[in-house]
Amino acid sequence: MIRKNMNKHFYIIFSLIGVSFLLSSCAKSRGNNPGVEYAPDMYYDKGYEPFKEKDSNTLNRFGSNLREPVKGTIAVGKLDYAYLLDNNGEGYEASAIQIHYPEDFTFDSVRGERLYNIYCAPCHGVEGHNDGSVFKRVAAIKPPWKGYQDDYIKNLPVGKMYHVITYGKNNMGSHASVLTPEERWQVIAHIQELSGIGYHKNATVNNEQQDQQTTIQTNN
Amino acid sequence: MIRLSDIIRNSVRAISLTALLLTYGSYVAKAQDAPSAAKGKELFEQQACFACHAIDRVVIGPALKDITKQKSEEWLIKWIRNNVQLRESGDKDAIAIYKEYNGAAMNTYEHLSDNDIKSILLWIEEESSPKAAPASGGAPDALVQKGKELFEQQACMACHAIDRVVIGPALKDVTKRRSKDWLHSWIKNNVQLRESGDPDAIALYKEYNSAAMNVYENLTTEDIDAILAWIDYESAPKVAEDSGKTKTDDGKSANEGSFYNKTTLYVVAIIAVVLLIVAIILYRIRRKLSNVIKEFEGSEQKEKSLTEHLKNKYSTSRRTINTLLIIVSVGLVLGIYGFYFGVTEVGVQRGYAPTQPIAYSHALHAGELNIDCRYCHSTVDYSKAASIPSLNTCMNCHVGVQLRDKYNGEVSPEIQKIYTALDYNPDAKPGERFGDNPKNIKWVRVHNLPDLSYFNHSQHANVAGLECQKCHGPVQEMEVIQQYATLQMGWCIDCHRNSGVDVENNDYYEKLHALAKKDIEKNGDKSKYLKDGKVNITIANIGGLDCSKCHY
Repeated sequence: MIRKNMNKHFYIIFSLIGVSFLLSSCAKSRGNNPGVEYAPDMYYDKGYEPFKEKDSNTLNRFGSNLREPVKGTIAVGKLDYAYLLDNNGEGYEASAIQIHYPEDFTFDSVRGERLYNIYCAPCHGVEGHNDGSVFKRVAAIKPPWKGYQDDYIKNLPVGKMYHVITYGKNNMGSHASVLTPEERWQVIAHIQELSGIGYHKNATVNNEQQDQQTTIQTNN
Repeated sequence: MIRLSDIIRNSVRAISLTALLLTYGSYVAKAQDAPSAAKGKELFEQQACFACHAIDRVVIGPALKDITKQKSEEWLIKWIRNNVQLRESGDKDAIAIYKEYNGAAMNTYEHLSDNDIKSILLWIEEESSPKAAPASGGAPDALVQKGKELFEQQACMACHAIDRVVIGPALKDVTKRRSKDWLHSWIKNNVQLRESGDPDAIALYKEYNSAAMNVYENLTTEDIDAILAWIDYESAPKVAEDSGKTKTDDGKSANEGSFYNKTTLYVVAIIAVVLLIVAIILYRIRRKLSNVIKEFEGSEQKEKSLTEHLKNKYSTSRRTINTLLIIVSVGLVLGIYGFYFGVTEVGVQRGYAPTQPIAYSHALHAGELNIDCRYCHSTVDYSKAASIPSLNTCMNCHVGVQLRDKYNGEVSPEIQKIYTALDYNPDAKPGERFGDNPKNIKWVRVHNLPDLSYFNHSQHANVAGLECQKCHGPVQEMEVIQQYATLQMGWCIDCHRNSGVDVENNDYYEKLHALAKKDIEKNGDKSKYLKDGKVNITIANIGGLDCSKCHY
């Protein structure tokens, strides 16, 4: 007799199971819906975390948890971030004379190549032939020189390279926010390797720049 | 007696059962026997092949492009299923590949069927074939054409455009503004012209932020004439030929090729609804017919409608059993629902893919353009957090890349959002482009690891050298970024239990390695560092399972 009843209720049970599966699929997180949260107090920090924001930070600009360094200051141990030349034609020309490899710089070819491949190769290509994927797709932003093997790059003073990485030039943007000063020099050394002239640290920081750095130190 | 009613009743049962099965089947079923590229893609992702392989570049293993043309299918199946066995059988190719890629052994995939592997190979083949490139327009005139070629060849467009300032001035009608001679000497050697004291040249240099133009001594007078002719041609008002052009939308349909895609699901759902309607109609006909028969036989008791019928059944026969059955079935449904949804999905945001303020495509930037993840997320090697790039990083390329050719001379609307936020005017002169009212872009955070657990990116990406895709999934294929891993504790622990640590060749573990060496020398017992006869120290062995490592 129960069996007969089962038969009657079979459809109901079966369809309810189906509906439950369908319902559960709606409640899962997908698209803009983060799904159901349990105990959000344990998920969201009371303290400030980078790139995480529950209630807007009322102290900082834009409500951001990250802060720019105060203008005119340099954090302890970050003296090499000080770069005093202006972002224009004059600054570019001046960099050729004033900026050189730091005295204590040692070239780590593995790191140099790795950094180059991450930060430069997308445009300039792994071998430096200006054949990276971005230049291939948008040829309009290619520089006029063919590659690092050009005389133009071979004769380019390292100071100018440093200036360009720091400020950008023409269609290239500033890479100062992604490369530390030491990393910029690693990349420059690798570019010298690629260009065929090889890494040579022919001159160190000259007196003029050292003077400038001392001035900053005393100012702070 | 007439058995028509029975026949109809049975057909109603059969149809509704089929309808339910079809809906359910299309929802659940994914297994498919014949090999297909779509299934291959799925398997490729599911087996995390992309952790070590890509189509057009070496990742850890070789690039897979045209692999099916280089090796036989039979060999490939053998290799994929068990490359260790193949190597041990003395296959020369297999040993050569193993050595070529630094002796990093590929995993074995014994659980994959022949058809699975064939599917993967099919997908690789499909991905290897070159994609069609768009054709370009026609040519106007020989001199103009030559000028156009030279303009491109000398990369003039890096700094100049016809109708807007890029780095140098807009070139429109430049031949009307300046004399031909002046233009020739400027293009050839602008430095010389400036040094000769030409006031126009010096003023121009100052106006454009002292960014010196390159010297083009290599160009002949004819070359420069050709370029100027092309500029003239481009400056002349265009006949409205562009108006006819329509923007081509090359949106890809998501599950092309597979039987179990969205379209079939919709079709099946429609069929199910239609069948359900048919079932209801048939039920009503049956009721009507049996009423007619009853009337014909002289019986006064009419058959009731469905709801009356159910109410009747419930009230008359075995009330307790019926109630119990209903309670049990509701309980069962709620139980399955609760278990399936409640236990496994609460707080797990897998699949969360919020709409971001800028429709940034990882598929384009990380996939097609193959830009390294670290280019934008540059702090991943040094910091707990992998940075969301500042707009400065976007501008590294988007100072130049504006996609005006695709949007009728306007900046692409998504790129314009970067400019708006930075208060940047791409049409102003260099040096005057940045305004003083920047805003920030509020990206929506996707991966929300709870506050109660600590995670450090640099430890995983830098020290362990993990590929980002290991946890974040095939980001290079995601149009909209989404959470790939569950980020549950079990998921962390699984990896910490099973992953070996190369303490020998990692500077980070120098001290640890020295300690282990000392320990072995002292006790003369190596066994606790071994697994299957090989040195194997897992993350669990070096404290990767300690509660306080992540929860403190």
